[in-house]
Amino acid sequence: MFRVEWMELANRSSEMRGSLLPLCLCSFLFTACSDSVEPAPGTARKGLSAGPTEDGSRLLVDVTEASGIDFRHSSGSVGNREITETIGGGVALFDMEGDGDLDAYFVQSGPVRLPGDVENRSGGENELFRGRGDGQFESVADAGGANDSGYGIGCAVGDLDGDGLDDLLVLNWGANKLYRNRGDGFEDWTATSGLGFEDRWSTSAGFFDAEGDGDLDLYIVNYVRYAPSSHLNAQFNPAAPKGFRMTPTPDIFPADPDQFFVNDGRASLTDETRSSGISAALGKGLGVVVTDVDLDGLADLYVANDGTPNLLFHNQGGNRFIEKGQVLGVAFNSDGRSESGMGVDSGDMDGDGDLDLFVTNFEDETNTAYLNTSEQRFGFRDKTAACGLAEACRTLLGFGTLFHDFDLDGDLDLFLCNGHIFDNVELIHAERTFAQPNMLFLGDRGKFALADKQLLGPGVIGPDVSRGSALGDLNGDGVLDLVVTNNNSGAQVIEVRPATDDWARVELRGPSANHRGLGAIVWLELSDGRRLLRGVNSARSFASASTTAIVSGTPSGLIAVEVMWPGGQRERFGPAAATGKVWRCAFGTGE
Amino acid sequence: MERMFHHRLWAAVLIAAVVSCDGGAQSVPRETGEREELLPHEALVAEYLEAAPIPTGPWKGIGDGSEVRAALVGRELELLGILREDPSPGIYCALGILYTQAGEPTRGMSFLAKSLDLDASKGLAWSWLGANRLSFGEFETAALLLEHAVSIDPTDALAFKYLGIARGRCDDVVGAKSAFEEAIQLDPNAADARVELASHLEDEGLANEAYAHLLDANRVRPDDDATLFRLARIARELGHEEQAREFEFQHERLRVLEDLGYLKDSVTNARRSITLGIYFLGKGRVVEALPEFDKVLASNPTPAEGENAMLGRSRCLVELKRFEEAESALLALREARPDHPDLIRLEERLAELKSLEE
Repeated sequence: MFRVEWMELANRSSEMRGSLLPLCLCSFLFTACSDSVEPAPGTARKGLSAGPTEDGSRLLVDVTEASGIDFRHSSGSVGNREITETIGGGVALFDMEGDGDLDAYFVQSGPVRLPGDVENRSGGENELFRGRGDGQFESVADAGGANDSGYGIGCAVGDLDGDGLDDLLVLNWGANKLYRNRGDGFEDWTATSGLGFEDRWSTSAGFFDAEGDGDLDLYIVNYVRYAPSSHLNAQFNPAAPKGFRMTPTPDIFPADPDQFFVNDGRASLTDETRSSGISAALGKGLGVVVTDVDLDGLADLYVANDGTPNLLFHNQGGNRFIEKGQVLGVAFNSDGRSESGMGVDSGDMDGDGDLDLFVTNFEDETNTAYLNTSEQRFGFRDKTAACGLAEACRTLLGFGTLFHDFDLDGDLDLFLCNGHIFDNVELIHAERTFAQPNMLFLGDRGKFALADKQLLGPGVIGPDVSRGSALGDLNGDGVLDLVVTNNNSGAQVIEVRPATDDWARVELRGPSANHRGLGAIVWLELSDGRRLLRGVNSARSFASASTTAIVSGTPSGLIAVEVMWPGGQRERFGPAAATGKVWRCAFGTGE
Repeated sequence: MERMFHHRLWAAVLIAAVVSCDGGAQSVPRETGEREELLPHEALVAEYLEAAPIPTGPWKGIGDGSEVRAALVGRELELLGILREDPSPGIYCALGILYTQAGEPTRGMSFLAKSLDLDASKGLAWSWLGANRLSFGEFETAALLLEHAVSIDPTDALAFKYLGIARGRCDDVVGAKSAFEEAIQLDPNAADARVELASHLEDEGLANEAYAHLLDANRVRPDDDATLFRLARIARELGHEEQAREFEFQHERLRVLEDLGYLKDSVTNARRSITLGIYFLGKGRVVEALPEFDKVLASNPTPAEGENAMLGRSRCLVELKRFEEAESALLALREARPDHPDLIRLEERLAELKSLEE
């Protein structure tokens, strides 16, 4: 492991960009799109080996050490058990330089500010690892200028200024930081953008095109008001046995309202939280997913709240939203109870052609799967148990979660990050632990079963105190790999090694500044008549940002791709859009 | 949480009944040679016994926290005491049920398996072992055990309810409905079985039938918020808007009562008042929030408590549009904590409300 000087990297990067520019201009600028690759079927995997596996049939393999990513999260805990300490942090996988290889950005937490201690904030810088495209990463000095040292929780990426490069938002307990990506480094854009320097506790965020005008707007999820003055509230956990201090739960802190910013197309953000209707509902937010629950081409927002009802902001167009969580049946679980929502994702869990929602929760609550019942009446039903997702997770505390077709059979699978928020939970429950195993459920048209342990390599599922997770092709083999962050512990890099070669990868080139097509809906049309529905989204899981490339198993062969772009315009792409397994669908080039 | 405690209390009562009627049962040791010809459910017991030997000593998790848990630990210690004197299948079964209900299914499984190893003729132990496996997500195994339980005791409504759940998870909807109907026939007050059956009926589009079962469940258990929530939803689907609103109102009332009960039981004195104040503020019940913060300030609070109470009080006064008092409260807060991040927001909110008034 070695550190690359930023200037050296910048020089290399600019050479690369220069040579690619003509090609980019005449081929819809795919180099600026996430992580473009073109693996030839049957070619040897480029990925790193984590050492010999017993039988070569592992689906997930931990390759952290070989990858060169040695990020270690620090909670900054000194024993006070602040509520902030066991929440962070997140990770973003994005192509920082536009060279086609994914890079990895990790959010650090670090020391907790105490009253009168505002100036003492040494250490705790966020870190950036430059991907080489072959599964190996190099640490970038000062994170290319994005080495914010605030008490970090999460991050989000999106091209705010429409220059083809994803910009970076860092979400802190304290003021957030927005970095403009110059391609050869980052510059602090917080003041210029209009984001402001308010002291908030932000956890997750999503860039999306709210009104279909081609530029990316921004939704920021905020948690609770936890000022340093309430530091002593750390003793407040009512569950703590007498004489012991435990991390407090959020019950005693007021909610911190979420924020919605509208982009004028030149990376200038205007706070329209009130005028948009977002301020009409309040919650203690931890996760957000951009989705389209009624498939009308307008991106909706689903927010996982901790102890308060989850919120579904239904997009009315014109930057107006109406909160419909309760009306549509996704605010509470089937018993009508608010749960402790942490992470969230959206996907067609049961393959019936609409987008469902999944939220991770506290132990003893189960996570909750809300199936979209649009075929009967627009709304959702809590079908956690029927999906097979209730009992197996009941004793665990979930955070990050991701839908993805890991085994490439055409059905969405589900990855869960687990880990308690009480580092001394054994005081109140003998068999519960702070570190918990993560989980992979394999989906089969709406039924989920825990993946056989034989499919998971050593160390893949912990146990650890996992939080964020992000998908992205780290080794250039075309399929999506996984990065997991662990609270006060090292991050994990997990290579996905599916056993089948029947898959396809779809990359979008969106209209105008939304170059990755965030918020688009994609249908993969298979030769057996199935239409696999997938959403194009970066903001999902918890506090993290994933690649937007779609990879799915196509058991009977992919014959066409239909895309609904943000705003509702539809296009169909035939095999001419495909090169090998990669379908490149650019706005305006389909039928 | 409350529901879980109800279950636990109920378990304690059940345990007492089990012990009283089965406490003197004689152990029936199983011949070693029998193992080779075990039926599937018997093989499972043998497997569990081997996999999880009986733990020694009490489970420390039961004893912490609330009074309900304290009552359970009393029951646990009592049963463990009896077990030492009289290791009968009934006592093992009672402890197995207690641990299963207390969220300790691994320990519960050991005790239930031991009970059945000593005496396999007790339907109750089979049914709880089935319920225990349900909590692990082993639905087919649970169904097998519960089917054996109801074959031993076809009057066990609870076993039929769990059997319905297990079959439902195995996608055997017909079997699940049949088990729930049997449970209801055996015990018309089986509210859980009615709620579960209603869920299947609703899935099949039989909303009226589902609604009828939920109404029955509500009559049996009017303070169950989950039933009220479902009733509200189906009533609205059926076009019974007025009833839907009434069920929603009742549901919300119970939720608030439960939240407040939790808060009141959880913390004390100044901190309880701060917690309650913030809770009321979160619900928009500003008038109720203000006296809670006043109580704190009148009670010689610690600096942290004082700051939180001043902040809460200021928020209340601003929202109540008591502008002069609000300004004075904010001034005091500014003197105490000029760098407080919420101060500016409150001052802005005050200015906004004042301008609107003008």
